[in-house]
Amino acid sequence: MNTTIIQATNLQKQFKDNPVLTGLDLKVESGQVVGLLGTNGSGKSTLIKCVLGLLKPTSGTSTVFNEKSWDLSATAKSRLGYVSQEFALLPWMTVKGMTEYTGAFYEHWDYAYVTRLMKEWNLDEKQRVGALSVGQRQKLAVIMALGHHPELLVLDEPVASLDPVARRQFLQSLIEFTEDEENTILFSTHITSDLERVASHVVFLEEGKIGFSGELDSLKHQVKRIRISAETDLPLSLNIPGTLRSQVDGKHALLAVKNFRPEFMESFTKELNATFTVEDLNLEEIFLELSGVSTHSEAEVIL
Amino acid sequence: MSVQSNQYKQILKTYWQRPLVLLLVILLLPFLVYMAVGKVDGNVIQIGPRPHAPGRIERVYVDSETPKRSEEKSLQTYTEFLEHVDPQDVIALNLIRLHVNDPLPDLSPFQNLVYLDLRGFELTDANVDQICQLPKLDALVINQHRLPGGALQRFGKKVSQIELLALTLEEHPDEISQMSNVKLLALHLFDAAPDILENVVQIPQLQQLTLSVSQNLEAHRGQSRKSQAWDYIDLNEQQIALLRNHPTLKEVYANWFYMDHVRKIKKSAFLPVRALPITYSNNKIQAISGVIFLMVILFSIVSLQLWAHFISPAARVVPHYLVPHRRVAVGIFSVGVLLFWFALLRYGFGMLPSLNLVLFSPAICCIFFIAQLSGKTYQKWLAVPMLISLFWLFPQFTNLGFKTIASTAIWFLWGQMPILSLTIIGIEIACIFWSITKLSAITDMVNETYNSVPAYSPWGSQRSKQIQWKKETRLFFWFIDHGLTKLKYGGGSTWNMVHLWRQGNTFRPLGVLTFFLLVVVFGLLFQGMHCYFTGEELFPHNRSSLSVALGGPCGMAIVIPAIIWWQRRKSLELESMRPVSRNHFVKQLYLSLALDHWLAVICLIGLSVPRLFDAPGGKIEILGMLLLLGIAGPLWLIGISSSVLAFKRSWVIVLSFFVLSVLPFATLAPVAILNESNPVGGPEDVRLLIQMALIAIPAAIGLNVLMYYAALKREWG
Repeated sequence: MNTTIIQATNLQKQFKDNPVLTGLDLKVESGQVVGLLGTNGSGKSTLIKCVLGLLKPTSGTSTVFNEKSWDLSATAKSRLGYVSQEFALLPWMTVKGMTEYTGAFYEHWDYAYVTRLMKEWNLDEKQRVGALSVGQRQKLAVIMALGHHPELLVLDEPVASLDPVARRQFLQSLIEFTEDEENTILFSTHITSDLERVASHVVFLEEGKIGFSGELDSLKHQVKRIRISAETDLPLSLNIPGTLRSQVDGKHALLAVKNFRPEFMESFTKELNATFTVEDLNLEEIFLELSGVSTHSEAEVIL
Repeated sequence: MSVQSNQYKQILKTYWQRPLVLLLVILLLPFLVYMAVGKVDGNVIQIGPRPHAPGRIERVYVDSETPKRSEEKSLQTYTEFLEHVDPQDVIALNLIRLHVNDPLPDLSPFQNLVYLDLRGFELTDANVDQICQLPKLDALVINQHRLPGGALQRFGKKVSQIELLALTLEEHPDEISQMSNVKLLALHLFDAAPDILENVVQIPQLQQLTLSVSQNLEAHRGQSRKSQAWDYIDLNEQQIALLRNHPTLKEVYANWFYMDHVRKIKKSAFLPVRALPITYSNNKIQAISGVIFLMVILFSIVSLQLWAHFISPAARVVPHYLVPHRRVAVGIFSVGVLLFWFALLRYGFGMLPSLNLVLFSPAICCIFFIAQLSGKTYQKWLAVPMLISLFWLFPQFTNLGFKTIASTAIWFLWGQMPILSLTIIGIEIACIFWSITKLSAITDMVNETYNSVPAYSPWGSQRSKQIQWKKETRLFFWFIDHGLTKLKYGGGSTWNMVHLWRQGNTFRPLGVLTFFLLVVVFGLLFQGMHCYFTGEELFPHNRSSLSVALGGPCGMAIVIPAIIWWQRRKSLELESMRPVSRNHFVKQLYLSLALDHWLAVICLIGLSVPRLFDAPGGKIEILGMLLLLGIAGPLWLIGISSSVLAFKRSWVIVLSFFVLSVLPFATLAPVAILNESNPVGGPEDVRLLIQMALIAIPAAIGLNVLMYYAALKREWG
């Protein structure tokens, strides 16, 4: 039976006059790999920090392992791993020293696993952390988050600075991590192709609230691009429920819809004496459509 | 409104939009107001030279009767003195007669005496013989006007510094010209005849003359016999000429108020002899040090902002970007210079020297930064002696330091050395002008070559220090790597965790202590060799050397923990997710920070040791000192440093540091002023010390409690 790992209810966070989270509800259950998507400034990092107790919510509640995020116990913290966006480490330590130092805080630190990951990811354990490149440091931060085999892994844009090879290795380690069905991951990223490979669930943040939350397949099933062609000019406003974007040019129209229902479209086009075709979207296209950004140029609309 | 004025307005706006600049301005303004309206005189220190004691002066009361201990508890009698001091070790002695019939004790055991101050003794020929046979005696103070015949002449041949009553000279006018060794004469003019200067100028080698109208001479109270009271110095043309024409005389110190303000006699009338004041206002000295410090702040504001503008990509991309920014910076700086210049003129300094002082610190900062950023090794190294010379220079603007350079400094500050002033102003303006015009080139160079200049680096923050850590500084790395010990999970005990948190920092108090102990060992070795060849004492009586030795590590031990934990704050976001609850995390960090101060505690107690040796209040005073410096001081210090844990934003931390550092002094200063009338070392002082310690300890604990709770509420993300 799945248990709730993360739960946020009516979560609000405001920095001075700038509201970032505006009444957000989120539930992550054990075994889920949740990808957090959203435009810059949509509140992904703030949400993660509130969930982990690094920021105090202005109002609302947030729990991890059924404990209040702001007052997480040592036991709860020992069950989670975190890689921050900035992954500031101690620059004077060697890579080996850094992992050993981090390991000394944990009762069950897997030195062999950490050493193996360092070898696989080509990290020179004698090098100073401060001398590592951004990507190498990110690798180290991820390794340190995995070293104690956490049940929950929270990653704030973990692959932003990694090269394609390292990204692939990282994703492989995530897949390994999720081999244990009870392990849970919450991670934010802009690289939707990576998310598509590992995420089971997607949460789309929109203006400080959840725009969409559900299974990745469900999202792909729900959001579709529709092309409509009619004999006569189409009305400028088609009024199709769940329209994310609509462009009408005479007899042709291009739409992106959320909650796509084929039966509705059939009756709708029948009334207009038109035909329609449905196109599947990949996650990046869905992301762009949900963000309100067109994925096609104006010229392409009617073709 | 034109585009140009909008642009200037926009640039000006950037100044008050930066919290750090605002904070510096807030620091600057109260001082400026104080300088503009504060007192310009009063609160004087004596700068007129008197015979100088090379070390601690032993004050001893001579009595022929056994003292009644209950009445004279704080007095050290001659018998008691000899019980615990070897006369051979005494180099400066002040002997005070308690009763009329007390004779001068035998001085022959004091073979190393350099300074002798005799109060109230009727000297006999035998006494004079004994004094003149002291082999090292060079400074003599006698406040008794009756001397045996020939004594004045013999003293004058023996010592180079002498302090006398004018009456003594009057009684033996024929001996004055025989005082062939005297270079400094400090003369009390009480009841002196108007023509006393005619006697004084007979001293053949006289270089410095201090004319005091002090009436604090109990021996002569009620014996006024002459017409002139000498409440002030009023010399006629003939007397001025006598001083002016003396072949060796260089400086005359006196209260010239009457001659300056009533008779309007100019200082140039005495030239080549310098007519200098006998006292100098502390407020003037504070104004000098204040303006130097404040100009550093003003210069920091302008240069920080200019640097931030010039280092930005816009400086290279936007056409005509640099000129308006530079103009605004120069405008703000010039307004500041004018304000401080006018403020300084209130203190009676000359126009040119005032400008010298105002431009001094900006010019020094310019030279230093240009040298450091030049990228040329020899220029960087050139800045080092400059910095060392500054360390020498700054103490000169304290009371003690100012006394040593008073003659030249006052002469300069009066504007009597215009060519020197103009030359210095020229150099200062050239330095500032050069740095402002070259700043854009420097920022270009920094953009291309440096990647470790904090906050302004064009590189990503993660890459900024990459090269720095690639450099092989073997000794440093060896040292910090060996500091990492016991990196195994040791259970969740507070002590283990505190040990772990502290291991994450490069600061090792024990290492610093070891380093300074090595310095002390080598210092002693060097001193030992020096003593072996010169025959001087290994441990001089002046214990200030202990303060100097401890001052360095103490300063480091006070400052470094806060800096180290401030640097750690970025990684603490990640580290706060280690398996420790919020309460324990804050507790462990707080204890770690506190433990990092152990060296500071030792040094603070060490610094108070010289004072403990001399504590006239006995054990209670020592207890008070230990409570204040051993408990309250370190606790307060930890409270100040914990700002880095309690607050997130840098400018709040800086503000907290400043306020909490100033607060104890601001609180204690009024108490000290209120207590000024009490005798130093008296029972009131000791009581006050204990009271202050008992108030300071709870206050410091309270501060730590507040900081701890602030840290508990801090967001680590």
